[in-house]
Amino acid sequence: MNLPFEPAMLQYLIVIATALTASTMIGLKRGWRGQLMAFIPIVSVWGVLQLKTEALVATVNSTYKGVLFFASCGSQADTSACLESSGVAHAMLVDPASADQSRLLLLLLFVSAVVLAFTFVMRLGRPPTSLVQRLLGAVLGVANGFTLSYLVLPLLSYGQRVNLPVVSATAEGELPNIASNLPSLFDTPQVSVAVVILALIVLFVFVAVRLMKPMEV
Amino acid sequence: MGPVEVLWAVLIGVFAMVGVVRGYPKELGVTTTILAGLLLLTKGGESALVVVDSFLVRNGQPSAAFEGPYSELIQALFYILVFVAIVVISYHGDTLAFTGVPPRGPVGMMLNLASGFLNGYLISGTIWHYLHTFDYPIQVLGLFRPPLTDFAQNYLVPLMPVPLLEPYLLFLVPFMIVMRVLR
Repeated sequence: MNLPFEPAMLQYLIVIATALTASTMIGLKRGWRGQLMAFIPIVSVWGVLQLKTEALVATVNSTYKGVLFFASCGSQADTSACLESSGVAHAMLVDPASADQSRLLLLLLFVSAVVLAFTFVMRLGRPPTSLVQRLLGAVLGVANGFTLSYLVLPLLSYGQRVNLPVVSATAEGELPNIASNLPSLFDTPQVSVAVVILALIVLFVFVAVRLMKPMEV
Repeated sequence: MGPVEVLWAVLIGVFAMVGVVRGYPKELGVTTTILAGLLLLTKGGESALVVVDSFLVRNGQPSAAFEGPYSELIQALFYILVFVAIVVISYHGDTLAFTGVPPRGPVGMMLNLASGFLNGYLISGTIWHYLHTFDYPIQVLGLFRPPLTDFAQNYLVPLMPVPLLEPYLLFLVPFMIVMRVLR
């Protein structure tokens, strides 16, 4: 028996769960100030990436060519001949004509920016002084987690095939049919769900036992 | 009777509330017993049923558990009643309860709620699994009539705990006992 979650759906769920968990944790640990410290740069980076995609691809390719040039022709006397013969002149890391490659680049940069922002906030931010601030941070964290998912999901490779972010009766109706339209190679095995549930139980028991306090005599 | 998943959700909610009231050290003891009970039922349930049935056959009674119009009801009742008995015993005493008290505040509350939720998932999911396996024999009693809703069929039936956890019960039960001893 297989779950009707095909890889795209599973991928989306993982992204949403991860973004929600990370963002809520930041909110709990660093309050609403931490949320602002993390999300203003994140949204700004996303905006810059969206506006400057072509320039970014060109910069990455130029840098790649530069590195290749120094590696291949740095020690050559006739650098212009080497440039043509080694193929450095036409080398590209990201093909501007390929939407998939550009999207992958954006995804890598954006995820790196998110990880950096969260790490900085965790390292440099201060813990909230009251429980109310902590809870406020967590609530804001949940909202920002959804925002983060919304920004990341269109960058995923299955984004063009499944219109999941838009909740509609049509999309809901089509969800169970998505699995049958994909090759059987991509079937999600049931064992993955079992392992997730098993991991959750083990993790919960482990954490619960660690946090348990000795009985007062 | 409405959709069976509503009953399933209500049961989980009730057990979650029970978890909040009792505290998770006691609930983890119940979880241990439930997992041990599941191991017992999945590994030895059918053998026990065969023994009981062959005893009845030897005494001149026809095989009721595996033949006849009520065989599925009898098999389902056997598994469910044994399981419910295990659950009742585990809730009745403090036999396997973990020694300790939950941390105060929202963390303790969340852990209590999660432990109750876990037990609710295991208990109501197991009962549903045995009803599902034997084609909902309670319809004989007029309690429920299939088919399930699309949502239940597509998303909830694959999440039933028995088929998912069965291969890992031999790991989970010793793990729970070790955690209790380490505690």
